[in-house]
Amino acid sequence: MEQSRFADCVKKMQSGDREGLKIIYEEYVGYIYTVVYGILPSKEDAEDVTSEFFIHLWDIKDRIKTEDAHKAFLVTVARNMALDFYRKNRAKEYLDEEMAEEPSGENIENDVIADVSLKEALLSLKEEERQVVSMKILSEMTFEEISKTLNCPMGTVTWRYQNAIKKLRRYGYE
Amino acid sequence: MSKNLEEEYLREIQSDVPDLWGRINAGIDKLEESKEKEESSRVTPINAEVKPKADNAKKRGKKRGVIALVSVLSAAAILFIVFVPVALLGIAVIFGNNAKFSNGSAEMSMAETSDSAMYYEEAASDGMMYEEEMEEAEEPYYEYSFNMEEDMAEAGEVQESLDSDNKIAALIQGEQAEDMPGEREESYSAAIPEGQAKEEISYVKGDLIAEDVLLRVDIVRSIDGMNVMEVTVLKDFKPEAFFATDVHYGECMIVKSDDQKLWDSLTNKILTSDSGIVLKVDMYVDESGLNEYPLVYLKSE
Repeated sequence: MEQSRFADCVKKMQSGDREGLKIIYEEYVGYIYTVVYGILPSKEDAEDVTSEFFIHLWDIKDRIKTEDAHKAFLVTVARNMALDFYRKNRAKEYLDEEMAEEPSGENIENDVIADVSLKEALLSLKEEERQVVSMKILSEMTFEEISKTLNCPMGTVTWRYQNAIKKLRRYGYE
Repeated sequence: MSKNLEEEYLREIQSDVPDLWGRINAGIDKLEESKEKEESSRVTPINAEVKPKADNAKKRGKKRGVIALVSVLSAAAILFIVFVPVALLGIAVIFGNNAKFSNGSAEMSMAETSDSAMYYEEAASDGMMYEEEMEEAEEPYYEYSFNMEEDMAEAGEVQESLDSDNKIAALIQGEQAEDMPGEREESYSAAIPEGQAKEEISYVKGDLIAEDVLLRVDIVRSIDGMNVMEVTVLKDFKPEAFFATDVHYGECMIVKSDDQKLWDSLTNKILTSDSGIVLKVDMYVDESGLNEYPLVYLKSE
């Protein structure tokens, strides 16, 4: 979406017309959902935060600056909302999920490369490895940002990413 | 078969995006409702206080009258507090000066009174005493000054010994400086970019020794504000093998090489520089996550 079109949509929103928000939604819902999903391991949570994101966008419509690069602005807001959600719920849910997760894929390096789908390939990863890959690829976060978000050393983050990439290479992913 | 992880992952997630517009619309409705409620709750108490115009006008008039009275009274109080003491002071000064002028001649005669005579006598005797005391005090004074001289002499000796210490220190430093490889120091200094503190990267100069690997830092040059060093591997690898390292403001350096063997040999090793500084080698993965290099940094004790 061009900046001028985005500015028009914001103007519409400011006049109370939801059509402006709908255009932005249709253009960016996939992108925003991807960014959020990269941080939140649960699909339901990703859906919730994505919805909240667009509601929040409507709420702050009068404060949106239309001169700046809007895509970066949208991603930053979405990422911050997802990170807030993650931090609030991490102690309760995600940690339990990670603990309960069986250490899968340990023998993956010896497996034969097979024509498997990405979903299956991702299942071979440990949850913390999948999380780092998702944050890196989907949420476009740097290792430093991931390290701060997960509150673990950067060496651990890069080590997890390396392991994940090595495992995924076995399935033909580069 | 090679598949693009990033592309496929993005495609898969984006193809799976649910339709959230209904939820968003409902959410906005809720938001608007709660906003309206908030606004109306803010407005109601104000409306409840609305009274007939005439009453309000009367009340406003009364209020204004009270405010005016209070302001006049407070202004009067301030004036009283500020001006009365000033006026009194002024009067006192004027009358005081007049009194002084009027009894100026009296002051002269005051010196001749018996009280003042006694005062002058006492003062004169005090002066004598003072002179006597001064005479008596002369000797100890010179003694003190003599002691001072002794002290000074001692201080001079101390200073001399300090000077000699400094000379020794200077000699030691000189020896140390002589011990340091002059040629390398010169070439190294020349290689440091302008404005860069020497200490920042000084620890990486010379040889870095690991169990099986010996690295020699040969050239330091600046590329885009980063110190890039060319290092020779002296042991276990081909002597002609060169590789570059990035020095991040003295904190760490990333050893870049295409040689997998080199990484394996360096990773998790402790390096000691010839100046005795201990460096640790760890793995570094760049932002693509696909290129890994040994990362060298100062070992924290």
